[in-house]
Amino acid sequence: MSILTVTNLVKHFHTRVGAFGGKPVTIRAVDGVSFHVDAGEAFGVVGESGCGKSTVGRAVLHLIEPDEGMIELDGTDLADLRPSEMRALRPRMQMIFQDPYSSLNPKQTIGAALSEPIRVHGKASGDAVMQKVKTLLEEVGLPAAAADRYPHEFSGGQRQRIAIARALTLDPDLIVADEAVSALDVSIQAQVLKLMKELMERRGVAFLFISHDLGVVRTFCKRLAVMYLGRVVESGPVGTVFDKPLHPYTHSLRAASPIPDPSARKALARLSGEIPSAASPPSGCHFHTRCPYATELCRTQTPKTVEPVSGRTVACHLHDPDQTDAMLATKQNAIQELFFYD
Amino acid sequence: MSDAALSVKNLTTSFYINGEWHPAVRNLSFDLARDETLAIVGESGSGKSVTVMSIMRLLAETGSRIEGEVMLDGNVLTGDADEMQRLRGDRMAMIFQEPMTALNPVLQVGFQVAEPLMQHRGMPKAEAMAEAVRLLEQVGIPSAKSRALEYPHQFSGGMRQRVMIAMALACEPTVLFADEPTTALDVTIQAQVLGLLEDLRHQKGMGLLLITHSMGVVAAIADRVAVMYAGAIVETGPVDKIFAQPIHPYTEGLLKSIPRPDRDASEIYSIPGSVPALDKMPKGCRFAPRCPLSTERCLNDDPSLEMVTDGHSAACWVRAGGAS
Repeated sequence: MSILTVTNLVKHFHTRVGAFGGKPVTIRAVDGVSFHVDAGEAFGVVGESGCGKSTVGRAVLHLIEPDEGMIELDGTDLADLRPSEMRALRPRMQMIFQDPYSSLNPKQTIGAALSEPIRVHGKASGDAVMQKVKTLLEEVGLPAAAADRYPHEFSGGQRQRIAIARALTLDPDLIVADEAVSALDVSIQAQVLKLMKELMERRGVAFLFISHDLGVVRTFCKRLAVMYLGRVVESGPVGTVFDKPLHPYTHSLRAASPIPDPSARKALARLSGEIPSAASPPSGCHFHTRCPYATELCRTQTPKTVEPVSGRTVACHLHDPDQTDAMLATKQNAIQELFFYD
Repeated sequence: MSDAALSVKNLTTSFYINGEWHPAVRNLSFDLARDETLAIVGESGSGKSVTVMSIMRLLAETGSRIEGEVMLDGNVLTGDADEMQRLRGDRMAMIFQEPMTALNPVLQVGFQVAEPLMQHRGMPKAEAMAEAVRLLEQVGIPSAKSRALEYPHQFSGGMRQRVMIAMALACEPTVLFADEPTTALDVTIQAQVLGLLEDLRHQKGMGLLLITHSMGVVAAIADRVAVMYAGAIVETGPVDKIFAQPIHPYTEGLLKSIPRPDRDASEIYSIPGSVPALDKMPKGCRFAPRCPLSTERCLNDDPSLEMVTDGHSAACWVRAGGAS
């Protein structure tokens, strides 16, 4: 049963670049993204800067209005909702940001920050509000007395616990966590991940977990989508996607991710080139400028998303049964690095 | 010892907080050979950046105090301002985490790379600019000749870091300090920059002192590792030993906490607690309050770094004797 279904999501930003008003530029941040998140599951979205993963998170919460596509929370299409209905639905989805210092009001006590959503949405009243705040603080591993203190009195890890407690105040079904542990030291990161995993298991809350860190995603998530320049290039169960990548980009990303094991040291994978700008993405497959297997077909035609095996998708001509003949020669080379199901 | 590119003995750096001196780095000693990469790894507040800033004398003089001995190329540094001015950018150079703040936004990148050559080598500007183009080519910047005339904002993060590296290498330093050089970069760009640093270190035979919080980066390019916790080295040794047979419980815990992309985690391991603040350091072993093995002795006496096997030392009463 999926709690969140995203179908063909598109979000373009229009801006101007250059002096004297500049020339208009369209940033194709998200360009046709589809995935679903099951109830109580952690679904990862990984990719490098500029791939559109944060825009996906914000569009899902309707913090920004998507241009096209459908976002359904528990079967309700968010685009159909009137503002009052949207407000009523908001408590069911919450967000945790990367930097808990800038997302907490420095002049507000922790107790005030946590009790506000409870009051606004009428989840409790009177003394019950503070009682709920204290229970939540204890649930995330902080003393109840933290309610009387201010954000600056806490360390980064503790602030992220506070942000998690605040996301939990309205008992949501879905939490969008955007780089939620990226700013934390390794030992603190492990503590926060452990806490989120416990909460997920105990409360059955689902996570849309946005991260650039493949290790963190593998530890926390069950399934994931890999994004490159506004599109999902591959999706499936985390373990199989990382161990048997179908898409050349997933392979490069995995090979470039440092492994804490010097005995596995090899020549550092050097994916040549840089990530092109989302203002002028390459034609055809966006990855063709950096792909070792790119052909003429890849330069001109956008690959369609296929499902070579149940539960895994990939958008690459190498895996498209309709392009078998065109890609045959290239496939022979790719077979050493990529995984093929047929 | 004198053949070491850099040799640090009993370095202690203290800061003045609320009327008292608190050591942020305590009694630190290490050597760095030519053509060697030593990684100093630790979490925030471990003192790894302060170590490098102390060696380079980049800390504000008021409110900080540096003690100990630093030898570069066999010569003891006095820490005198004129001497440091001569050495920085020449015999010792540094690259930082955020290349945008380290580069001057209103100067062409070519000029910024050429500047140390004019400053330290007295090279005329035209010649230095030509050399800058060659250096930019060497660090893998395409069409270096025209890009040398551009400004930092016209470069991507990875390219800016390459410019920083070109600038640092202009005078072929004996030692290059790299403080979290790839932390702000995407993984595919990080791999490019780490590969470049490794190649150049080897080509130029310099000592590379890499400061990082990432055990993955350490495993990828370091020869030797020093693990820092709360201002002191708690374990040091060859990279394969540190990862395969960690001695100190902190190193062991840190390694177990790392989320790995190459295998499934059955459960998440975490070290309880957090690094104590500078003015609230416990007496005895500073890791003892978080340590699963701590004994009465650990809470009272500070262990010293003891050699356990060849070149592999740790400061731990339980695992390494630690007789001071």
